[in-house]
Amino acid sequence: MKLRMRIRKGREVKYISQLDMMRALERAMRRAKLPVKFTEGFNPRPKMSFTPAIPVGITSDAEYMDVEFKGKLPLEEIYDRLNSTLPPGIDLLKVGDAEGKLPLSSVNRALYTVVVGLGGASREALEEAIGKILSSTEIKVVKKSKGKEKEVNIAPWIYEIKVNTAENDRFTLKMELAAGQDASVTPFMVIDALREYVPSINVLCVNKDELFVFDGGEKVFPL
Amino acid sequence: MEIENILDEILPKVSKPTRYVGNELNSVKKDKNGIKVHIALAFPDVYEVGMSHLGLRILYHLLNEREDVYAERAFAPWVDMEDILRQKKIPLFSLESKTPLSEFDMIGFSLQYEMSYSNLVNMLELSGVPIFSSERKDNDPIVIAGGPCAYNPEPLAEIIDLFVIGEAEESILELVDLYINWKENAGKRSEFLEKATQIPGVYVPSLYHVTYNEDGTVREIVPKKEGVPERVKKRFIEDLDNVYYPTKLIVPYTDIVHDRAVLEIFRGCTRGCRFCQAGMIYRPVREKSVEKLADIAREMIDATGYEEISLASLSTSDYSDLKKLVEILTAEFKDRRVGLSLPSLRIDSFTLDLARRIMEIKKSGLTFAPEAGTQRLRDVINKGVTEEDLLNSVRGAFEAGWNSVKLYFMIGLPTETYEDLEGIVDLAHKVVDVYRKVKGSGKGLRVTVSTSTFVPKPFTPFQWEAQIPLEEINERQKFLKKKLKSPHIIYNWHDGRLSFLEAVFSRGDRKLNGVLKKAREKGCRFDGWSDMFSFSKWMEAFSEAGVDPGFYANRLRREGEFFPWEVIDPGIDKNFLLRELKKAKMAEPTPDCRFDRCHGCGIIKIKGGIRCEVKNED
Repeated sequence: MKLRMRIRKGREVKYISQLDMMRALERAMRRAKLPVKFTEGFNPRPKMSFTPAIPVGITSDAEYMDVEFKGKLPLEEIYDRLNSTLPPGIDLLKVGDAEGKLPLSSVNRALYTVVVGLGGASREALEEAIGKILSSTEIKVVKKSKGKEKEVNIAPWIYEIKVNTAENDRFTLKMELAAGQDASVTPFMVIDALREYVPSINVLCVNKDELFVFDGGEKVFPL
Repeated sequence: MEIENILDEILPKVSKPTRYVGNELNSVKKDKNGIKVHIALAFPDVYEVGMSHLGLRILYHLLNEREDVYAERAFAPWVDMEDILRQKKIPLFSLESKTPLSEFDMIGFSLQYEMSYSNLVNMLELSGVPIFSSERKDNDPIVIAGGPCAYNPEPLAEIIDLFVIGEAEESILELVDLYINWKENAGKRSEFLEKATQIPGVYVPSLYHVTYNEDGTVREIVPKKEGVPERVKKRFIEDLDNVYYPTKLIVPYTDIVHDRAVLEIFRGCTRGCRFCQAGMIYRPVREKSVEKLADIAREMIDATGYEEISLASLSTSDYSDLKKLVEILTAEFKDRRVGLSLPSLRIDSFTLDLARRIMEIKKSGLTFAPEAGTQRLRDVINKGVTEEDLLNSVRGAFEAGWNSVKLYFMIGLPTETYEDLEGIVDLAHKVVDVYRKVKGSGKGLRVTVSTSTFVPKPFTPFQWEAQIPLEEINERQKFLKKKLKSPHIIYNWHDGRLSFLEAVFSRGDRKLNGVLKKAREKGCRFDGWSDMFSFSKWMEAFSEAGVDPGFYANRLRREGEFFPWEVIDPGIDKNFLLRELKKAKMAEPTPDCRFDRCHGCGIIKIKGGIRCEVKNED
């Protein structure tokens, strides 16, 4: 059976890479003695697939993994066994059947919570900067991929930025950004763009809250 | 807590931040207030290298088994992190509780490689702990060191407070008990160090006086006080089946050098290669039983989830019942998709069959270590491998589908001539010929020839020998570079300047402590990393300290010379080493005593009651 899991990447593991995360999950499943299916051939790999990688330094409540098991097991049992063997900072939040769900490769948007310090700048300045970013048609960012540098325009991929709460100098922002295979924007890129207007802004922490497909005015969640 | 908060700010700015975070599965967190001894296990290299070291993992888990002890880890910060630590004046901290190293009761360094000594000094400096033992106050940590390089403690004798010689599973616990007792009685630092000398295997260099001859050689090393032992006997574990072995190993997140479950199958080696220090100092041979190993392997995989088990020893194929062990392990773990790897394998028809069955090795290619290019020189170094053995094994490997082999050699071995170097070239080309015969063409073949330069080591038959001069190392490498030109052959060589410094420190004396400090002041660290190594800084350090490095590396010692490392007793007779040296000069081999008679290495005398597995005793 093919299962879909929603996984939390907590503070303890926020610097590990996607590859490290995959290895940690594979090992946790071996400790839990879960019957994971492996690929055939010379170098068998567990049949696991993931949503696109997030930059290191971000915590997340919305990492998804599809994994194939031999035979059938009750979902509650999988949930309990895996959670008991996962390392500190990684949690299985939810597990369900992956059949009939949208493919993980089709997700295209994410919602982030970003806590920033303004370094003395005012809320008005921040709000104004956000307004400018949301109304720009061109924000150029240099992206590195496969060793090559490429300039891309991220403006069309920034859908929403809101100031949620404020506490002294600390502001909590909500950002809805492209997060798919074709287009993706990280909160760090948005902060860099805001820095043009508010030079003293700095990131305190970033969490990925949700990941989904936005299609025809509707949000569809992977699980 | 304070450092933990600063980390959030600095970690996004450094490469591989996972190195400094900890929190791995099976790492140990304790309340610092509920313990009696707080020990930092410090490894003078980066996390990925240190975490790959079995000894560190054994001691970490062994110490943390005790409720009254909290052992944490500390590694050398990479240069980008070091810059930030210095800029922000953050002291070097432990991985688990992020406690500054200076606040620990003890800091224990692992000495695996001479060229990590500059990192050790740098780590002390970054911790704010005085570099020299004599400058430390009562509230400074006790600085301890152990590991193979500790068999010649003298180059670090003014820096390290206390050396633990040999296998430390028992002595480290005795030391901890002594520490607790001493701390409860609020004793002085000097009292602790003096008492520690009563624990067998402990060397406290500040309690020994060194005198020199006019020619600069050491005349003697004598205890300053009565009751301090004249020579420090190494410790070793008699019964490997019942010694503590960790199964709940830390599982790192980041890819470390050796990221797998390590199963130690035996200690010691009696092959008797004359250049090999490990083959002498780790005697006698002691094995774990197949049954015990199977239990350990099962517990390890249950606790770690590792996808690979690696057998660890000095020479895997010498394990008495390797076939049975491999059968049990492969049967046990096949369904759980756990692979098996057998490093340090002497490849012959039997092991080739094993390797073929487990297939795991196939990915990485096969490694052969003939060490020398001619039979004459292999007899000199007592490497019992013939050209015929090698070519047969290589043929078997090619027939089984391998197409990449690595050949390891040493250059500059005693009595080596250019004829022996030609032998390396010939052997490499013969391997290519074998492939052509097996496969019909050379297509797909890759033969990697690697040479390191011979470094004479303490407590080996070659401890009297000179290393060839640096210019000569370069000449011989140039010769090989020119001769090993073939589309199928890749030639790698170890930097001769590093081998030269290794030779200096491996047989150095106390005068080198000052050189180390100077080299550190000039910025030397991570010398083993080619992009960080600065030979010119080292040469300046020697010249400013008024020490001639050639005196240690390139000088032929006379038979009667007293060596600085002779304050340590590894249980091997100097007379045996001398006999072996003389046989070497006549190219006369000494067979493995496990299958031959006893050659009188002396190990049976170190402790009453131990027995060697030899056929006849002299």
